Amino acid sequence: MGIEQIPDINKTREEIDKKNAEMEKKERERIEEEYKRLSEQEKPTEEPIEENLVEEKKEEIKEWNKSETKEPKEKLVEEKKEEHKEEKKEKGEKEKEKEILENEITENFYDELKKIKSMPDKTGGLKMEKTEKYFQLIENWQDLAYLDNYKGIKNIFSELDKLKPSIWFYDFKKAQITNNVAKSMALNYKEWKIEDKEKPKIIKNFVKEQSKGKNIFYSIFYSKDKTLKEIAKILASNDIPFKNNIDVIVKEIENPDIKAETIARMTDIERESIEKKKQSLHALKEDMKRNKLPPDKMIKEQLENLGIDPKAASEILSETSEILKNPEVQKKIQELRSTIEKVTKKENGKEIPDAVKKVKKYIKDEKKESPWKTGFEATGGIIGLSLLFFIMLILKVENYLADKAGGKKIG
Amino acid sequence: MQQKILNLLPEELRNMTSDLYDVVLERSLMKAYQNLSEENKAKMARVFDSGAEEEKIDFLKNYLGDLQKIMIEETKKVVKEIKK
Repeated sequence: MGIEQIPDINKTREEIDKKNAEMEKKERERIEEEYKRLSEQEKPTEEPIEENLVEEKKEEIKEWNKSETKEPKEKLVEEKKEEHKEEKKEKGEKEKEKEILENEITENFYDELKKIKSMPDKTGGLKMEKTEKYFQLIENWQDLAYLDNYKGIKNIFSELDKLKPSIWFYDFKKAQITNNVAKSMALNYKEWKIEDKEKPKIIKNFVKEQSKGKNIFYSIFYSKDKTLKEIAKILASNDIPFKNNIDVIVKEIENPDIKAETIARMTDIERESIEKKKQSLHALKEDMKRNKLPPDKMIKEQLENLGIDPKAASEILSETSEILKNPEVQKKIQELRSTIEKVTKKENGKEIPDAVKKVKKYIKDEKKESPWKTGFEATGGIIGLSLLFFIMLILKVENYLADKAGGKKIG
Repeated sequence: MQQKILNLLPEELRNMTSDLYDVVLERSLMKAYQNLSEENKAKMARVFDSGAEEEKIDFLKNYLGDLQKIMIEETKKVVKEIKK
């Protein structure tokens, strides 16, 4: 196989580029129009609960008018007033009870936080223990953290930053928890007792602040833009208006593809029935529960399965570019390249059924969205990482690192 | 996703990892495909040719549920093959 077999490759490439540019232009125009349309929509003013109340009142009036009772209407009015007073009183008491309970819960969380803060953290092991406790507290607190406007949770995040634990997959776990807290903020949007216009700003700033820095591991699963996309979807399913609310979140998404997908999804959700929206939110909550399972352990196990020490592997990965400059490693790359070519060539000779080709294409398609994909994506990512570490191992980078750091091995 | 992580890597590593991942995925799918009955093979062809998104997801869940396990096994085999 050689380049001379494709004589017009540059021309073809130019044509493809031109076509792609045209398609991209059209897509951008479409997104802008969609964004404009959504931004012009006004906040809904009618609350369904109020609608019900109005209907109830109408029914009461009808009944009252139909009434054949001999009692004077004034007496009936008095009775109704009394009933409402009682209802109001009962409602007020329940509200009070709820408030007391909420304060107690929040106080308990703060007590727990105080205890964790007082834990010693001089050694690596102690730091690890303390970090785990902080993570646990965030997970327990996040669904009710709107009660104190997320101050407690934010406090834990700054404590974690101060602690700087050098724990395997700390960044990964932090990214996972950031994602979950942000989603909880969106799920509890209506319960959260602050001005609506403040809420998206708080969510946006929280995600932005906690997603600083780039880490190859958690970028497989989490990123600022991915989280913001999920937030926008939750808010739309919760009937939160786009203008002055969801648009604040969408504007913050930098990746144009993710932004386009988010806006397209907003339009779809808008057309969905209330029942469908409820189902989506329920599925999302279920997903969040599953998300609490630590995928870091899954990755760790898989790497260990292949005989690779995960901790050293993560260090190696962060130094990949530098390692690859090493002449010895370069030589190994060429050798490995030809071995891999032999393996892939063997595959090329095999007959692959059309159905298999199509499923492969479907699995590799980045744009599709499905609940099944989430689980598979994790496995695909782990396999990709494992293969990568394996390549690094073959390249004998452990020798290179051993020279550099004094005897560290990855496998 | 796979592409996203690969994009963060230098080209040499990116190509090698991507090629190996392709081999693993294809071999795993072939294995899962061979385990299907003739009827389900035909169903797979129909669903992935003209089926709705939901049908595809259902098919993967119901008939190729073991694919993730198979992929892990195939990864081990590929790793062994290259080590030889």
